[in-house]
Amino acid sequence: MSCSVHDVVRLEERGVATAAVGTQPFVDEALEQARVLGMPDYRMVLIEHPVQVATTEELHRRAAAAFDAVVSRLTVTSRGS
Amino acid sequence: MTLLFAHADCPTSVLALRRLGAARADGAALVCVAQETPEAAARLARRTGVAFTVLAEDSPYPVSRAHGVDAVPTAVVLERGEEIERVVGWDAAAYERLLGVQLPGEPRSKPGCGARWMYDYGARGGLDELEDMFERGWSDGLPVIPPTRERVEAMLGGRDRTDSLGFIPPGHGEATLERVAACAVLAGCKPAYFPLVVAAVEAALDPAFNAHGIAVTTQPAGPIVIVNGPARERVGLNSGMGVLGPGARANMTLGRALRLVLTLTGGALPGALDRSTLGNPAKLGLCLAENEEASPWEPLHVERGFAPDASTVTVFAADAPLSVSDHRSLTADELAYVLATAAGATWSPFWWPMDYQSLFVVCPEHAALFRAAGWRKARLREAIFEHAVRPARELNRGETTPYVKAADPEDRVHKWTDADRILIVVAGGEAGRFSAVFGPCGGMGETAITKEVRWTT
Amino acid sequence: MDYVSPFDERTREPRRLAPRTADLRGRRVALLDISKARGAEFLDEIERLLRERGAATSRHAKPTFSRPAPPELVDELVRDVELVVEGLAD
Repeated sequence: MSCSVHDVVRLEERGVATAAVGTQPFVDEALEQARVLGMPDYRMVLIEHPVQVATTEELHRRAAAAFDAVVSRLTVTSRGS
Repeated sequence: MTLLFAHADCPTSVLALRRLGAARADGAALVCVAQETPEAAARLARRTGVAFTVLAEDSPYPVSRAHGVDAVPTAVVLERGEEIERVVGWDAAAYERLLGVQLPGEPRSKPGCGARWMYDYGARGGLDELEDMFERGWSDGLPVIPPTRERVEAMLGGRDRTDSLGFIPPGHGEATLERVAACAVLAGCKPAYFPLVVAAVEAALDPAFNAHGIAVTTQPAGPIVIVNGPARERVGLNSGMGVLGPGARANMTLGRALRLVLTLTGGALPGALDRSTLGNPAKLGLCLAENEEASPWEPLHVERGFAPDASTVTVFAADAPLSVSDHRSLTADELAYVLATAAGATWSPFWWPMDYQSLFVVCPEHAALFRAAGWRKARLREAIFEHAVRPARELNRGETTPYVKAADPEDRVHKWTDADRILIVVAGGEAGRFSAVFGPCGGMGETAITKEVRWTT
Repeated sequence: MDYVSPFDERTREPRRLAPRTADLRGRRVALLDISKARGAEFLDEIERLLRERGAATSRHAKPTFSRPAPPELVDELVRDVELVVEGLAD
């Protein structure tokens, strides 16, 4: 999770809009990591945990459920989002 | 009359009082001035069983200072109010002469300690400072030594405090020597250990180590430190009985100093950026010195390309050690089989083969068995590798690899992808047949990094 | 008491997020797999939905999830795409 935040912060700094996706339990780690890297307003898209034991169909369902949030990260300026 | 200045935190004072108490030294001629509160003085008197008068003198210790007592125990012999003699430290012969008593027992002499005011830091109660350290978040859960500027300067030993070892992930705090020294003070290191702390931080910041991945993983592993060469004796590291801890200050504080640098300066605080699900006791810090003297083989650092007389620090991301008991194997091959079988269960029982390192700590009695059989280290490594093998059908359950799933059920699958993943050191006490194996922090790349210790500033 | 702090307390200058535009149609979107198991299946569905919205997609993968992306990969993304979806961190 922390490494993903590093990646997206670096991409954002270079003008690439991003949506980073992770699972719920890492919400505070993601916020903390973004904060220490100087992007306290960065917000990940969070889906249900766990993922490792889910079926493919279930993963597709969670992706569909998260899609609107992904789009809003990529296309609207953060309101603190 | 003799005034005997003492305090309860000085072992020599306690020794003197016990000896004098046991000898029923004459109370009229001898009065103890304890540099303590009345309650603490009373406890000291009870504890040491003295029969003569004990007076309490609390801060600022006017009588002690008036007599120029800056060490305890000090006996000041007064005649008509004038000092005619003084005895500093425990000196049985001198006390026998002064008091006319027999003082049997060893030792006959022992140096004393600083007077009480050398332990006072201004704050009444002393513990306020330690609570402050907890409140600032400068602790790993245990008390730490406050990193005053004086202590940090002493730790730096003349080095430039602004020199930087680099930026520590995941928080990217800069590891200036000043911050590394502050962490070494917090951990309880002596300045003599500092060159090893620096080398350990350098090793952990080597990109190949992947400090970032190790800091934020959900795995239990944390960096441990292995010391080779003359540094072991120079700083008083333990490589023998109880080597994996606790007990030896150098070992405990060195391992802890590295962890504090990574946690406090690097920002990998447990529960925040450090996501380790369980953690492990060794994450407090673990430092072992290889018992090169008991080893039949070349030490770890020589294997890794360093001169035998070089002092090195090897940092390895390891989870908690698994103990391997073997009191029955009579042949080298049998013992290798036991070690291999035990190692099979570490990190993951079925994720075979794993492309990560394991560290074996072979105890001296086990090493002696290999020596007697004429086995070089390479042979042991190969034997462990060959013995840690199972058919794919036994591994095809739970958390297993795509390799196992795709294999023929009767294919023989090894624990490791290659024998060179196996690290071996010798350490531990002379007696007892318990070795240990540490699993890796998986998926991080190369995890063992060795750096030479630089003694000069 | 004058202590030396073990923390690097310099506050990092706040950085701004990249600007966004309103539309996905015709945009080049990279799906960056961090290479943890199951992530590819998740990204498959995100990719399918992005294409439905008219985005042009490409797939990329980090060598390992346990480190930040290598600089060359970051450079490649900055050069070749406009948007990145990175996943799946669990």
